[in-house]
Amino acid sequence: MTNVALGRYVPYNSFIHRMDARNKIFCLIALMVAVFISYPTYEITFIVGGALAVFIFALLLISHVSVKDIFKSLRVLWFFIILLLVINIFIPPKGAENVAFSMGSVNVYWEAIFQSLKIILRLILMIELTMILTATTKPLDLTYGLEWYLTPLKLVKFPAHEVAMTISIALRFIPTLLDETDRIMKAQSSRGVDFKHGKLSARLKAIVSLIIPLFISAFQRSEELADSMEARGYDPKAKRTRYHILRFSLNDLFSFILVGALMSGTIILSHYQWSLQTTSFVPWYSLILICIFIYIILVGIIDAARRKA
Amino acid sequence: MPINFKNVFYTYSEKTPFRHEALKGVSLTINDGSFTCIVGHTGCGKSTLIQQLNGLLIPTSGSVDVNEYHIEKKNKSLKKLHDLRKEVGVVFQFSEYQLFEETIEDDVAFGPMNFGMKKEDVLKIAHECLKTVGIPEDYYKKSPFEISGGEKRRVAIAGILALQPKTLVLDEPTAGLDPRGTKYILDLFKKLNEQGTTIVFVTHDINIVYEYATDVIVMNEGKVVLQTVPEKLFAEDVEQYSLETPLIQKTVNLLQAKGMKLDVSKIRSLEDLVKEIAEARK
Repeated sequence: MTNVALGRYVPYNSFIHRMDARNKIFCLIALMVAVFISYPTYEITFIVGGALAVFIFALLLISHVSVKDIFKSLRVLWFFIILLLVINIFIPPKGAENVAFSMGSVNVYWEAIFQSLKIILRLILMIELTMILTATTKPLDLTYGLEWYLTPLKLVKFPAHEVAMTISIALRFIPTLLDETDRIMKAQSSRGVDFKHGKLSARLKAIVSLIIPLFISAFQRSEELADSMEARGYDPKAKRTRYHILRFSLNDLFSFILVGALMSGTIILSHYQWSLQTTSFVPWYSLILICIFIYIILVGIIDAARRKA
Repeated sequence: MPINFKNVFYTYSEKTPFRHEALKGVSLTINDGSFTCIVGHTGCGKSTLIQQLNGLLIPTSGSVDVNEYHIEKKNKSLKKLHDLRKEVGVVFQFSEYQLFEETIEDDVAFGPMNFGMKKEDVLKIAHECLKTVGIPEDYYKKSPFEISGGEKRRVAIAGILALQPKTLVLDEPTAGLDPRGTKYILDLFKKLNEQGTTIVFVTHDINIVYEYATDVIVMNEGKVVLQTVPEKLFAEDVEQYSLETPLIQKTVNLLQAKGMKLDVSKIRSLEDLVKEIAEARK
């Protein structure tokens, strides 16, 4: 049961833990952009990628995510990494011309190796980033943050509250279901089920003996939850106040500016490199980013105005 | 061979913020053929304790000896633990949630089949066990999901009995059952105990301890506070262990205060009490 602890909220009191969930979501998106943006040469890609990796590793240390957990999450990626290498070797990227070495009749290009390394680096950084977010933010805060981003969409009849509620219930029940899984596994182990060893058919049977009771109790739980919510007069349309209020502190402003600057820096860097080759070309994604920026600021203003009222 | 705990510690989620020390140096002995009751508050480590008995949890430090098995952190070979689970049957709390097969008899047969027995032999055992727990014959082909909660509990217990364990461990098997069902199941365990099965019974209900136990272990905050026989426990003031006085003892105390002469050592159950009162009134 140890591997399921991945990405679970770990209650420490670090700088990142204290950050506003909304800000953390923004920072995650901004850093993802910085990670995924592309540069014309591999040198710049790896220099910027390396710098980001160091930065994100520092974030990991600050947020107390255990390094062991990260390696565990990478273990799942092994298969993918090998597949990627194979594909890139047999179908080299466009414009590949520097041969690293030959294997029989197949030429292995430097570009192919770099291309796969680039994707692997991006993947690892992406996983680490999401791990930081989920390890440092309570699931409920995360959904409140999401709901905050979705509120303006209520104007176009988007059920923001319902979606947030559904997500928060789903998240709330993950640990419960994990405990349940553990309990049923123990009960079945006492009846001689071996979940780790044995023939394929025996292991299939073992999984069936786990899944059926798990599903039944999950359905029962959801029914009970729905009943108890209704009994307490839950109405998704009702206007409600909130016990837990997200606060945007000075630290948040600081990290918001820092991460925003980092993202803008990578965009400018990538844009500048492009413009050396082509004539002033604005990448399409920077437009989207500007829109997101304006959107966040607008939502913030609306929210502040509503709180004052 | 008796079951022996030697200075057992158990910690959940070590080296994480969720760290929780459930057992803090437990040493105890459970004798062969005894009906041992383990009592204590919720969260005092009872359930953690019984999971050590069939190797579901391995002590963080210290060792557990069950029959010829020596369970210690250094010495874990899973093959052996598998065999141990046939000798020590554990019925967990709310065991009705472990049912999954299409028919009741298949579900009861599931356990023994995991230990390599043949389907025909197993079905015979399954039918016997279902009969002992009082499930009528026309239920055998029914789905375990269409019977009542109390019946499900009995089927789950039959599923463990079918392993024919030498030691039967029960974690509050009577929780949520009606009084008649409770009595039926308790009498069943008593009968099994008389036939030679060692019973380890985890409970909150002091009345059960009073009526059925031959040994008592009182736990508090991960430690064994007291290991004794019920006669000695109930001769003292049990409330010092934050346990309640059993109803029968309360009645006896009240009657004695009114001047009735009762032989306390003979009274273990309601029937005994009635008999003693009749005797005293002669």
